[in-house]
Amino acid sequence: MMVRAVWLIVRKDLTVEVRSRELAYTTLFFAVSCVLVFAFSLVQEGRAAEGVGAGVLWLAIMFAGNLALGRTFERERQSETLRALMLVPAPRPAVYLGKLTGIVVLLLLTEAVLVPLVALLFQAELLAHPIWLVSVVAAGTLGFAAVGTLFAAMLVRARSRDVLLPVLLYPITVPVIIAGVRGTMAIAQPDFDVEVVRFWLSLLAAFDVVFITLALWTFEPVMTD
Amino acid sequence: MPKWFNSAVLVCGVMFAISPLVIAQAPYESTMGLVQKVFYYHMPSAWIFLTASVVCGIASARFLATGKSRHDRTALAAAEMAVLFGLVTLVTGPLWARKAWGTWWVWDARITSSLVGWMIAWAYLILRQYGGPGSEKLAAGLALFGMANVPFIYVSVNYWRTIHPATTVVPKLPFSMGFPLLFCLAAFYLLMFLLMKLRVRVAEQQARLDAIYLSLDEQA
Amino acid sequence: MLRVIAVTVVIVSGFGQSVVDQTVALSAQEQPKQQEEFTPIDQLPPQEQLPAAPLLVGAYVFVLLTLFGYMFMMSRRMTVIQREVDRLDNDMKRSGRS
Repeated sequence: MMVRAVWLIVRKDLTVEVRSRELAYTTLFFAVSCVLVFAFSLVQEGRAAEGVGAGVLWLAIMFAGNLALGRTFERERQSETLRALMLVPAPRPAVYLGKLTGIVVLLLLTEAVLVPLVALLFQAELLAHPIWLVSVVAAGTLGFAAVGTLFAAMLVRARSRDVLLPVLLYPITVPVIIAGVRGTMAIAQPDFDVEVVRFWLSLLAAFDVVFITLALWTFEPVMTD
Repeated sequence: MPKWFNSAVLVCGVMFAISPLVIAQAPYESTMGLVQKVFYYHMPSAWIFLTASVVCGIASARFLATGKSRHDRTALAAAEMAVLFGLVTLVTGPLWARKAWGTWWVWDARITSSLVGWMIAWAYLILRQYGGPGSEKLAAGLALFGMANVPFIYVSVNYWRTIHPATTVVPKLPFSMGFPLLFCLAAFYLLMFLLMKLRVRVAEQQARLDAIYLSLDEQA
Repeated sequence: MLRVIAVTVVIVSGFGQSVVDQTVALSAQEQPKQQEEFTPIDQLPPQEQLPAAPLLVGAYVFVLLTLFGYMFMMSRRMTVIQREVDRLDNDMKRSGRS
């Protein structure tokens, strides 16, 4: 029942998205603009400072993710489909998981474009160990999106929701971003040390478990009046 | 306010007034000298900051589970304590560090996670203030995530080799240093208890005022 | 004419030489000996270290002002709200509403 509900929600979001492609294009464009702005600011005489590429990648993910989260739930609010979702005869956490899956898929698609772009502009050897990179980026994106989906859903009916989402989201996800940046930096290093990457990856996995569990517990109480 | 409140405030004030004398009795620390005495105010503030974050988290969980407003008022008061004592910790720390380590700020695990924890508490207050109606529940959700940060702060200093003193320092303190620390801890915890009592009472009376105005509007 | 010039040159160069000699002697006295190398020390001499007392006193003053300042602000807010509640209570009692 839960899995079916989650799949239905994901399919709904995917259908809406494939027809309009609004979120995909706007998120991607914004993320690429971010990276370009950072490139103009930080790349001096064709060379960027050591390890800057990893930081820029995660900053772009954070900013683009923030916009995507806000926009996803704004769309629900405008068409009043959120109330319909809440009336679905499925466990409430299924709504959360469905929305989370949609956001993660969107962000992963964006990252598929961002990673080669950052590797190119900042001369970062991100693609040297692709499996490790995918693991770190996916784990970090999942942690960020887990908290973001909960907060964006929570704030849908609040005042000043646009500015409150980053105010709430960024401090909570700082540990995830730190682990993500450090893990990515460790991958891009010329003297690659698998133990360091494994450490940051396991930290990310721990955060993912804690955040998703907490979010599943709190989704129902905060969404009901 | 209950009758014992004013006397308790007096006791607390006296404890703080004589604390410099108690601290002056303690010996100097061998490597850091005079500036180490900031420790007797810095460490209790840090403990209160962590305690207040945990209290806020527990009260928020109870509020989400039961819906009773008094848990919400406790959570609000605890969040204000966390911001207040967190600010004290984050200002006294650098003042100590400037002399002991030669730099105002260091991006090590405990200091960074304390700063982040403090910003979460501040974000809680921003949400309560500007989130509009219904923001009490949202803030409660945020507080649960903030509370999950606390063990991370406390333990981080033992897992990363950092410049901040380890948690083994306090249990190994000699009595000459341990006594002033306990004295200051008692003074700080008493102050936190009194401030929370006052803040919760202010919130209660505010709620009562709002209820009275609401009933007057309905009757008019 | 040539002899006058030659004699003048000899006398002037004699004076010049003594002036240069004197200048060298004077400068050798005023300037310290040129440093050949830097010698490191572990700790700054006490008079050049950062004083701890202002940092310590500053920290204590900040703590006390912040904490008791907050208590003062809350007490004031309490009296204002309490006064308002009592006023409204009295009004309602007077007008006979429950």
